[in-house]
Amino acid sequence: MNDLSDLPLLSDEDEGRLEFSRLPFGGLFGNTVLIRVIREITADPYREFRPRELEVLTSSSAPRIKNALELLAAQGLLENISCDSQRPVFRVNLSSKRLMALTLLAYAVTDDRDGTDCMDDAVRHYYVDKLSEAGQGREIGIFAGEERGVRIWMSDLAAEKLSRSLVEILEDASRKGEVKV
Amino acid sequence: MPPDEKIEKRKAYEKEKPCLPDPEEKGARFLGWIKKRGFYATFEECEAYCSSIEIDLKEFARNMGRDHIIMGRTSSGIVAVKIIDRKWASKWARYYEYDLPHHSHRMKL
Repeated sequence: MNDLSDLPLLSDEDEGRLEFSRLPFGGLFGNTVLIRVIREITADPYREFRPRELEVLTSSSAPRIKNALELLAAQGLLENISCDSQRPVFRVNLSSKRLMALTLLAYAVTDDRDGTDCMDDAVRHYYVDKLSEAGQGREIGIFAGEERGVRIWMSDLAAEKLSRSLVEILEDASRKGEVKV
Repeated sequence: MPPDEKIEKRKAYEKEKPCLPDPEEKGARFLGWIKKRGFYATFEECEAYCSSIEIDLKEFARNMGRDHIIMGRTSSGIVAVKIIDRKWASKWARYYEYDLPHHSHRMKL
């Protein structure tokens, strides 16, 4: 940044927290290339991971990143989705319970440092979303006549979002006189 | 826990309304990312991440305001990004489903 001198000076406490945050999971497992890659995939598992980008993000060399990615793929946490063996592209296995556990661990590290409740909130969310009776989901059918139609299984949360979207679409169509609601 | 109580708790959670400003989808994604790193990260790390999701970090921080996110420097000259309002950040990350792994986002991308 060019305007560095204009930025406020962080407190000693903030500096300590920043240093702590720079270590993956607060340094609990050291600071190896593997754990740095694991931190990256935990922090945002929706990206497609390419070795070159990870080299920049984790300040690591190409061979070490390659080893880490191969190990995580062998563990089932990553999947290589590229057809080109020279240019691998990895996708995170979002179904992995280890990924969920690592996410909770990331929050627990902050909680232990600052006395907050990030992990508790996340566990509550996970319970409500995945484990509770109300979060188990249901099958929804959309039919046009007796034979044509689709059946979709979705969680109650997704069903509620879908219903809100449908209401908006139908209200809009009703205003335009395209449907009768 | 009685069934009624369980349902009531779930509804309360679902109706959680985050406070403005709305960081929008990409902003919430950044908030989810930095939250998992302890609400602090160096500007360099944030820039590397933000470029991968195509968000202008400086503009985002400016739009959200200093009550929510700030940039500062350490005594050794490292520029850092700090989330000031963690509740705000957490609620929006949850609202856009970037707090826990979800399958839904993969379809959006």
